[in-house]
Amino acid sequence: MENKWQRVNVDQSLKEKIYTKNRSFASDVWYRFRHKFSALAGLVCILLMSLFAFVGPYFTEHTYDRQNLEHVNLPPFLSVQEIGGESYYVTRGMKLLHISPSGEALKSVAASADDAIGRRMAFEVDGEELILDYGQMPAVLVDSAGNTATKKTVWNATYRLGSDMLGRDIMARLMYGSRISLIVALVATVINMTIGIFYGGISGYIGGMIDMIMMRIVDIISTIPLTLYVILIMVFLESGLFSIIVALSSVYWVTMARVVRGQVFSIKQQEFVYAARTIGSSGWTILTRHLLPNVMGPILVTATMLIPSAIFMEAFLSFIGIGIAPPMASLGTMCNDSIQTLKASPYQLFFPALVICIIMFSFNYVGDGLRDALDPKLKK
Amino acid sequence: MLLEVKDLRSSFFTQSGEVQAVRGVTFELKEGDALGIVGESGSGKSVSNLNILQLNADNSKVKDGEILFEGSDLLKLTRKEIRRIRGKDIAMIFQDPMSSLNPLMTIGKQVGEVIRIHEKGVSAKEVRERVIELLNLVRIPEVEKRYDSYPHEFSGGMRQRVMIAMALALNPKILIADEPTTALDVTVQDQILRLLADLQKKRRMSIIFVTHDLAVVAQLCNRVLVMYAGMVMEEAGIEELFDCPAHPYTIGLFRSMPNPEQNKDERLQSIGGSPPDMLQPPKGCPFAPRCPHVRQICLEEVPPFVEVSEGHRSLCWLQTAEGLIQEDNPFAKEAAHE
Amino acid sequence: MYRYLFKRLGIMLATLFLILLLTFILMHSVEGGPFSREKKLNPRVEEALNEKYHLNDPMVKQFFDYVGGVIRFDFGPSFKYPGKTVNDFIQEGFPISAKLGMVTMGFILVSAIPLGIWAALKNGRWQDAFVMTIATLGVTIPSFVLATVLMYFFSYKLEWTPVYGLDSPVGYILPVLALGGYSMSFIARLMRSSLLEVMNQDYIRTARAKGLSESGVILKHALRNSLIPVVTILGPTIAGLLTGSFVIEKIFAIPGMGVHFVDSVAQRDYTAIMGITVFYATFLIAMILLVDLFYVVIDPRIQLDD
Repeated sequence: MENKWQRVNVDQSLKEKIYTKNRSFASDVWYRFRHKFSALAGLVCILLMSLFAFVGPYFTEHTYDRQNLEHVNLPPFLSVQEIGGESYYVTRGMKLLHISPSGEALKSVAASADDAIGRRMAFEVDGEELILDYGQMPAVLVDSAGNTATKKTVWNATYRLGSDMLGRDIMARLMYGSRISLIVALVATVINMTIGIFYGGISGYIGGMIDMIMMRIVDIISTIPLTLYVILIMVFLESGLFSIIVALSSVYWVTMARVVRGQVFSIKQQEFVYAARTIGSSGWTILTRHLLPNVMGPILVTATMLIPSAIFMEAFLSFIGIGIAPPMASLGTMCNDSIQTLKASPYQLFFPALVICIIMFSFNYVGDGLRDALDPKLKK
Repeated sequence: MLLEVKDLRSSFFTQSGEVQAVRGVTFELKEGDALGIVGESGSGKSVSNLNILQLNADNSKVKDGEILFEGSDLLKLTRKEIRRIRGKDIAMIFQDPMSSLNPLMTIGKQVGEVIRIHEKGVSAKEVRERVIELLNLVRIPEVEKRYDSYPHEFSGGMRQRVMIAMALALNPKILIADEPTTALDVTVQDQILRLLADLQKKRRMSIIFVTHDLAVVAQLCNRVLVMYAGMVMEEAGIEELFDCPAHPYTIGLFRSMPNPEQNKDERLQSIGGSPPDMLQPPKGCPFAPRCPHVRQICLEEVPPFVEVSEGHRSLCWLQTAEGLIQEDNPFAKEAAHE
Repeated sequence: MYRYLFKRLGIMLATLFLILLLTFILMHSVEGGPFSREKKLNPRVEEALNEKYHLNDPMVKQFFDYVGGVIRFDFGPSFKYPGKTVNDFIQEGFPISAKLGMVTMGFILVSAIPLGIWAALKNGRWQDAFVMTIATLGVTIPSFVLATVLMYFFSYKLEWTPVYGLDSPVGYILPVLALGGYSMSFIARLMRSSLLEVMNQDYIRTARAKGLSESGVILKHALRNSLIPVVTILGPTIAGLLTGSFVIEKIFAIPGMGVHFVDSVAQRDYTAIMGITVFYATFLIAMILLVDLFYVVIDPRIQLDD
């Protein structure tokens, strides 16, 4: 039996046992970020959405502006009537659209005769005559032999997410629309970040009267909702991508400037800056080595929160008609266009709405996740 | 015997697991006692005292033990019953008086609140009179004007006096003071301590005074409890503790106090290492990893209490009868000297 | 306290001036005069019009004329609709928009604050998660998406609510929900986190240590303190309702000022744009000042400078 009274050699490791794994700050942040489900999901969605927006268009033969007036307002799921081996879809304009067996939209045929009283229309197709009885709800197709068509639902192979009121492919327009949203958001945010960081950084670092004046200016600008400024600016610029970016960049930097100034200001006061000074570090060293890394956190978080605002603004502007001009597709204009046919073709609203929501949710969750991951007090 | 805490064990349940904050604390408080509880942050001193009035956060649970006061176990009282005791029989003041006072309420109203809670039907006029009397008692100047002031208009020392007035309003039998002077600077600290000592004598009140500062304890208390890692390491009368501290931890604490008379070329001594992680508390004596005299048994088993002299006990293997026999046991030499 | 208010007033006036200046500059930076956009006018007619609208005066004089007009609440004529003045637009549309705005504000406060409190009290349990999920949806989904989706389901599919207009009380439901959705969710989240933070404060522990019951603690100490951030956010909330009205009024065909503004923008009716913008700015500033006043009353700490 061991002697319980034996002296123990206690080395430093026993005394100073540290109970958490040692990680660098950046990998610590990444660790916490990727362990939060919503944040990770948001990031994945953003990547997928970017692929959709930037790579997607190469995989479809549609463009955002090619119209086909024979194929207007086609839903993604077509309820066709199959008769005599062929499928037909009855369009809103009471035409018969020939659908291939695999779901592709082909030519449409107009009625050759219309008996309004008996509520029957006659169509000539490949020499055959088909009668559409629209007195019944839903309308029924009958051929000359008296056979009734069978109903079927087919996935629209030509316009996978449907077509809009000018026969343009919704999916392609979604791709281009997302592309615009993402570009606007990214570029505007980068510009806002740059302006904001410089403005706020300088103001916070110099302090004193200059800081007070600069911040007063920011206060004055932000009293009015930024939306109003953007609208005003857009009125006087041509519609378009470039104008929107200019409008957003001229105004949204105030948010970033405030955040940066607040951070720089408070960190400037903290002891470790004084400590750096006392060992003789120059102003530049202090700025880059000490202030900047500590400010990066809130900057990143604010940036990821600015992005949804930018996306919303672009969609908002396009929705009220002063953003992206047709025929260019924007998620906002798509939503706006969909209102006219909302009852009959709800899919024209749902898809762009869904895409907007996905983009905004993703960035919001990523921003939340970043904020929590960067908060040292929440260390697990 | 006014208050008896028996083998109190309580833990916090956090995301990372169970933090065992208090691991078997036992002490007694007699009428007229001023008991000091000394320990580092994380020693469990505050948590044990919060347990007395069931004031701990929702994620903490008392796992075992009793706290006997006037015949009932305080830990078993319902919420309604414990509320009758809070502020009336047992009162508590806290560390940071700025954050402990509601910034949006006048201090007159806050101090008076304790009266209104426990004595229904007292007229507003009488409440005001009694509050003014209390504020005078704690030596707040210009009381009439200060009655309608807000906490942020007071200095730190005055705020703590307000807290004391609040605590004393209904003449409690026990006042628990949880590090009341830690957030104040030294001169103010002295004033508060004198005030407390004075009030204690006048009102024959018992005090439990929690602190990390041994010097403070010397000024106010007649008995001291030294805590570490959720357990009591040593308990003694104040003079006895300062004259002959028995536990290696206590000795280390005394050694680390800067002595103005020491040779200025001597380095300050500190106790090497850091306190243990309470998520996985050590098996044996909690101080063992940092103890200069540590033996194998210390790491494996929790030591028993040893009565060093009357009213003085220490939790240490090396001071047990068995331990004293071992060779190069420094305490054995001391025992031999006695 | 008065110094604080005075400072705020100063900032507001400066903002107003900035807006006036901005709109004025922007309008006059447009190529040619406002009349040159129309089909070619007889040069003499154009000259007469320019005279009438003082467009040949030096810029600075025009600006002061304009400011003078604004102070007298005269925003000038509409350039697009002869015979109508901008004041007409405002008088027609503002009452309708204001009513919608007030109803929405009432809805927001009555629903968001109790919800936030409830979620905070049930922290960690399913009720909390439930409220928070809905609130997260509310702040992320853009108002026009919410409006159109609600319209599809409730007006078209279920036919519970009318598609357009505010004729009946039922007609208010969808516009109020769509307009207020974002703010309601935001305030609910804010209320919840504010109350949670307050409940963790030391003075709550002191109140308990005095023997106060839990409901007493919440009612007398926690609530008042936790409402402060909500009051602070009232100003931006009003601003949000205002900008939200542009889209909501358009979707639900409500003849309020928002729709007039959007139409003016789309048709480049410059005086209308300027006038309505200035009106909005003034209105907002007045509201924000009121909120500031209220804030000073509730929080005695405001004596201190920023």
